[in-house]
Amino acid sequence: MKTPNALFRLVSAAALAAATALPAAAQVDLSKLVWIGDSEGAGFSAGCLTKRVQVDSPGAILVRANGNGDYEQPIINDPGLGGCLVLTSLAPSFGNEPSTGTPANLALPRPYNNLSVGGCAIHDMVYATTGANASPGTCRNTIDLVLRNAVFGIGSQVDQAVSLGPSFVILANFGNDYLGAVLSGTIIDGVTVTPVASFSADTNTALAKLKARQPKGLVTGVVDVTNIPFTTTLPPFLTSGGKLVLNPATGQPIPLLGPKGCPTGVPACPIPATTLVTLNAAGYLPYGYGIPCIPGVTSSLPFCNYPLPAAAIDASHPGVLIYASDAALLHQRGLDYNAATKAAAAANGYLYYDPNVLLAKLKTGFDYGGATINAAFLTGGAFSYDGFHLTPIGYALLADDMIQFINANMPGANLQRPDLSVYLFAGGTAGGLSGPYTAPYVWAPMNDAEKATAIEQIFTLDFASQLAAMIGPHRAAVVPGPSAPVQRFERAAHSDPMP
Amino acid sequence: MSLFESDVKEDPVFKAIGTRLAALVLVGLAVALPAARTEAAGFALFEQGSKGNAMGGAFAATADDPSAMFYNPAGNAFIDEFTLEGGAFIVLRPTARLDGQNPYPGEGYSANMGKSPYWFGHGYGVLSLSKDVKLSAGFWSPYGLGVPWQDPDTFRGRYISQRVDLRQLAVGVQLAWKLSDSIALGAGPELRFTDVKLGKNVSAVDPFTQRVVDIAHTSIISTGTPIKITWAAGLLVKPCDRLRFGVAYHAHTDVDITGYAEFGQIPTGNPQFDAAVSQQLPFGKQTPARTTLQFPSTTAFGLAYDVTPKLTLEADGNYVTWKVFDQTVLSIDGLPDTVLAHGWQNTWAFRAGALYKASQGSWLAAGFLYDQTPQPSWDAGPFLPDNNRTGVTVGAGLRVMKNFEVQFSSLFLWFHERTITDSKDNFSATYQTFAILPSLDMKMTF
Repeated sequence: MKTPNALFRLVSAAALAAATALPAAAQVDLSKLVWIGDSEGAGFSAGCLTKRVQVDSPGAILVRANGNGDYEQPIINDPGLGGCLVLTSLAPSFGNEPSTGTPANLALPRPYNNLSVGGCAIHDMVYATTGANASPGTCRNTIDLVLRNAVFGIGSQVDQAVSLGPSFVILANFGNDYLGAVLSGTIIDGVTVTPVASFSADTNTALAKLKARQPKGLVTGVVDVTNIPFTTTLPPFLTSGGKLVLNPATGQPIPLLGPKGCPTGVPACPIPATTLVTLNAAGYLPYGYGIPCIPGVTSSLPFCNYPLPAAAIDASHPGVLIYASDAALLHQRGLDYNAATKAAAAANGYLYYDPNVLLAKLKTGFDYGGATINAAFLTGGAFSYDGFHLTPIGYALLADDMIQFINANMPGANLQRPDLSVYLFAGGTAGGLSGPYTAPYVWAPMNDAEKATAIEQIFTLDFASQLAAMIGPHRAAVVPGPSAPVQRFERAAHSDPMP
Repeated sequence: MSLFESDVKEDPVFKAIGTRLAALVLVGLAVALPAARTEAAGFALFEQGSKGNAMGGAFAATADDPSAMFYNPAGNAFIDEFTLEGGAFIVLRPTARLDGQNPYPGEGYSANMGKSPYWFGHGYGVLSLSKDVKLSAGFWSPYGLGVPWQDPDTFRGRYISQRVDLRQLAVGVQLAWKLSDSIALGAGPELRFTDVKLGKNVSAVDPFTQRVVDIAHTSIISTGTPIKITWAAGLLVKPCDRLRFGVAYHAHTDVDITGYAEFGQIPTGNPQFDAAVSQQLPFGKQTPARTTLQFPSTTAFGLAYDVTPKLTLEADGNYVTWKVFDQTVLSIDGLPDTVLAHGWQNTWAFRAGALYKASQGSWLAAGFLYDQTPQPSWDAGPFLPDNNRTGVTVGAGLRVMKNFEVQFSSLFLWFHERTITDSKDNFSATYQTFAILPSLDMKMTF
């Protein structure tokens, strides 16, 4: 009888060992997550970096939902840096909070887990160590707050990530290799748009270094910059009250004016319907740029019949039109970047995550207990006032989507999803941009006429349809109305007023 | 009464129906019919008499009291005396709660349904037209749903449903014909009166705070108490002294419901946003609304055996065609139609009961039931968190006078715990419900 008992114990021990060893080998350990990335990873929102949102950066949400691991971030005290945009009226108009935030965690005696630096592209993530060798703009201006190489001398984001000995790595380059071209309205391949070859080489270099230290990780693709609220909110036509203005003679919408394709000697002509008009047009339209002079209607605008710029005039006055050929280039470049990233991920054993899948879902809308979140500007809840950074709700959706993706694609992964209710109802764990910071900013109360305009402009047919969809006991398919929804945005948000 | 109170408070139910009922019910039982709560799967009610309920609802082959109008219309063919029966059930829910899961409404969150008891009644009369032909009339509640969530303004499912009340009353007249001592048929028309109310909040993202806020409360209330005619039939066979077989059928109905939707604005605290919202919804007006609700057919199969002259055992199976409830289209004037997918499936319920006939007409009974839910997990949520259920029943009938019997029963019903992670509304939760349904009936013969 002893032999069977001994055999039983042996088999039991082996089974127990197998049962415990196998899951452990396959688990995703976020106790020392390191995130390499850009402003989305850093937790930028509404044009600024501030503690109220940083605490809900996607990496922080991932870690918090899965055991509260050690995830140190370069927190910037409120009111943050960059001048957080604040909606001051539904016209809409915006104010800015002061850009006087100070670092709160600068003395951490090791690299941060969140090494994301706003404005950095893939080359910066691999090679930039200080502002001196980083891309100009936000990356150059803030990289030293994050990497602190004057103290550590460790190197780039990737180098510092390797030095931390991470338990899991996320390399999230969401698109600064070509987002700058959209923000500046100046699309020049090789200058404002990174060539695919160098992008691919840098991505492979980054992943090879990271894989050597930690073979488990995830790399993201870039977001299609032609498909974000910054480029999709404004129609290429003249609007009034949120609706298209139709030419009484033809019954057709009236195109805005741009500088390309015009007859010789004609400075402005109608833009094709395929043209993307960025949110930065808000700085020009109130003065008449891009608007045909119509006697008695728009002729009072001082710059009617002037074109909207298709390229930056100077650093303060960006281009706002992206013609179809440039839009196609950007779209294709995003696809090429992502193909290269996917190949690099496969070569290095990292998961490849495509954020455009999430973006497509956002366009349709997420429904949480009857509350709808979608990609609409101002009323959607996911994108912040700058039109390309997310809100804490958006970051929570990103983190949740990543968790589901990892669980579905990494054998043995069983990451816990976050509780979204605090983001939906409280704006985030620290209230988001409407959180506790209450320093004064310019608030512009509206008169009745402005209020009426705001109502018409913001609450478009699209919004009414969303409301209608909410009326049923459950969220339901929306039956399109007789005319296409139009959203409009005509006040300064991102640019200094012209001229 | 303000709009916000109109649908979340109890109100007299079926007053109009009650008036018509008094005229329709031949036996003249003056029993009011308050709200019903679903206690058979879906939103069906199978508790229509204390004796049948005491046997776990396994009563299609026994059907020896006037509640046979529901359990098997053929059963009344064997009742020779003018008999009246009336009673009511009370629905108590010691446990009716949800525990949230991530991502929404979130772990650590829980909510309870209101604990105020519901009750629903029934009344039947059987009149002998001849030795073999019996006329019966009565009313009962074949369908009902009451899901009121506590603290409705903070309930995290409030954009799906804060409270829903669905009630249906059946009024029927049947003829039962005893073809021989061993075979009987019964059939007759039923009028179905239906009433529905729904209350929920409407949300939007506040552009100023980028948070989800409540902007309105909406009540959707049916008016006019639509009447639909359907029918029921039954067969009862006694192939030998001890064995009985019964089949009963109640046909399905599609009820066209009209009513109105009312919107009440909920201030967000931002006057600009509130002004904008006020332009978008028809606050303070009753906007016509309509929908069609499908109620399934029910077929009961029963087999009873007299183990001894005093002890009867019965086993039943109930087949309900819930597949008719595949979707609901809600139309509100001026707004796009809302299509609510349900995807329900046909179900079986299994019931078993034992009846012990004591001396002088008194009896004791007990039963057991297992009832499948028709609702797929993705449809389960605050609107209706249905699930499979198991129940046990007990009951007794006391002949307190020669012609007067008092009946008691109670159903103890455990809804199987159900964790929903694939909700169509992304509302993940674990639901637990335990209900007790005591009943009291009075039966008189003349």
